[in-house]
Amino acid sequence: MNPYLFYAIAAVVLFGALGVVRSSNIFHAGLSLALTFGAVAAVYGMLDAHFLAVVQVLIYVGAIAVILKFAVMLTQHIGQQEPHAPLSQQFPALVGCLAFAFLALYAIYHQTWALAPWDPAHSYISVRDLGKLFLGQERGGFLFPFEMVGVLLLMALIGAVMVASKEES
Amino acid sequence: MNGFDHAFEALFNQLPLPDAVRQLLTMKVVLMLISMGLIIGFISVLVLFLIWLERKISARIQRRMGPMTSGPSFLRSGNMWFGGLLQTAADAIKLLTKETVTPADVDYIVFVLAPCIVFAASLMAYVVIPFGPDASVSDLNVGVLYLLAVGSMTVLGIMMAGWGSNSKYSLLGGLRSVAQMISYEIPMIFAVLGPVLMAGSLSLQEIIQVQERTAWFIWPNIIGFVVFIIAGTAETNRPPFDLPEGESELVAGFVTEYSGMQFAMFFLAEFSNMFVISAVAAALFLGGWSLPFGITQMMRASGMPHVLFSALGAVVFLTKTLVIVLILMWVRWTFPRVRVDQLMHFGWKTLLPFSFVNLLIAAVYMIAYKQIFGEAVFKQIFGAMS
Amino acid sequence: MNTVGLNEYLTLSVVLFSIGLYGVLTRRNAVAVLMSLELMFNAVNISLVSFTRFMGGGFEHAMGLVFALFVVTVAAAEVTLGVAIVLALYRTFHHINVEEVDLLKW
Repeated sequence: MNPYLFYAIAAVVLFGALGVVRSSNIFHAGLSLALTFGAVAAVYGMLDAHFLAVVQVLIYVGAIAVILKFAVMLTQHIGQQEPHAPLSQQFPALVGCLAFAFLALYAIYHQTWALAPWDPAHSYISVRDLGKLFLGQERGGFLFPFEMVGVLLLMALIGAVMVASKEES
Repeated sequence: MNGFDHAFEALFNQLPLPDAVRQLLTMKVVLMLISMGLIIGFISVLVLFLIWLERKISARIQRRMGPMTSGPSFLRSGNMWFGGLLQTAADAIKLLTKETVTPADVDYIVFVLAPCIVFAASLMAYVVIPFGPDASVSDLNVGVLYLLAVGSMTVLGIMMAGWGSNSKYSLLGGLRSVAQMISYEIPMIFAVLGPVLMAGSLSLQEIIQVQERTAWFIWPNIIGFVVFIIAGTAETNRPPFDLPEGESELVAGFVTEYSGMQFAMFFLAEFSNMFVISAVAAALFLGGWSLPFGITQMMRASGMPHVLFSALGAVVFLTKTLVIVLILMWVRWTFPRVRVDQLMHFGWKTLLPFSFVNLLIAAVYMIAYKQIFGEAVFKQIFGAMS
Repeated sequence: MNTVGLNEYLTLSVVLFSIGLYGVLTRRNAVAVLMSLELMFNAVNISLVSFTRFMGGGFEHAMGLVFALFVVTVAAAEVTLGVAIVLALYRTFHHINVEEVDLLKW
């Protein structure tokens, strides 16, 4: 069951991703993006990161896809098509991406990873464990980045409002 | 041991079946499909009942009688309260046989997918609703967060409906609805955090089990309960927050261009969402399937068959949910519609601070409980919340 | 193909990343570029979480999962600012074709 499920979900992820980069209609690209986010949430579920899967749907599908679609709605007419880039631009991009992919895959497959088996008793990181990690101040704790991310979100909020607001002329 | 699939598996293992059939029926996939079929059947009957109830309640509030003629004949003659039971079925058949008109300039894929996504999102929420002890389709250990995530998928569907219809009323309605829903998601999350903090878990069945051991969570979280009900009403686009489908302002808002079965899907999704909000409020704040004063613990210890215990729990849960549904319907026909700027002000400037206050009160309550009753009692009641 | 191991998840991550990279390099609409950027973030998250999972999980290797959560948050902030900039761009140029926004080029 497991390999088939993985390949099915991976196919949906890649299909959605191709829809994002090759679709002429930007709104359809936004829909493909939402589909990709959902499929990636399923991948996180398969990797036993259930909290992250739900957070992915909540934030990516529920907020980021929505805000990108707002941007599309405010800057496009319905059904407006965007022509693809000329081949002189697509070809080097394709070559570059394939080169990167081959390099990365070569590095992955010619490597012996220090893997460890999944121990059902200790390995699952529950929400409570994540809470302890986020609020821990000792060596393995993430309190400082956690607070910094809060400040970052505040800055992004204020900055976005300032940049996008109409100037009073 | 939570879940309908375990119950069905136990049932199939007990029935005298030929071995091959038993093997087939106890496969995980088949059990899941059977549980989902059960839930979908339940939802169909439930939504029909809820729509009829809404029409009856609205009629009685407005001093008229509501649907009276379609239904069993022994109820028809002059019975004010139960006449017209099959009215919704008649309406559903009417909507199904209506022609689905698709305007020419719409973005066809988006237009057709939007009601599907909205309805699918509202169906997905039923997976974690705890109908009884061990009676939920699949009790996820991030259940509460899953419900919120599914609610934000509805936002996507409504935006698609607004944009795909290629009409200014739809677009305005869709944008207003999205603004309203994302504004009221945040007070809802904070209101829900109160019970989650007190139970120490995101799983709905565990929250109910903690409420079984101690009092209902509504007492320290009364502000949170009110905030949740208000935010839930706004989330499901119900009056007094139904500006997106404002019947007298925007033609019909984002459902303007939809007819026939597609309109029926939006309509059904709204009632289904209302049930989900009521069920979640009953589970988080009113103790779900457990009865107060230790009655449930007595029932559990009395050794009655587990099926009977679950069924009684389900009856209690549905009763509480029905009470909250009645409150929501009562609110609908009592208050006038909220204007869009009043809506945003209310959500961000009033509801959000109140939900923060609720979280603070819940935290202070927990600390005070630990101080007053001591560490041991605290650990025993609230589980591993250290 | 018996079980799905770390290599398969990393392959998925690499392919998704390169598709996103292709989108960033090729697309002309600024919002489409932002969307492709989000694909790259997701690819990185998949690889982070799969490292946590296949190296045994637990507290010692939880950094992948925590880092992935931070990436989600930072991506949300970044998309907000990106959309604000796109809106300001649209107000000035009345289009969001990144090829033609070259006033500062010499």
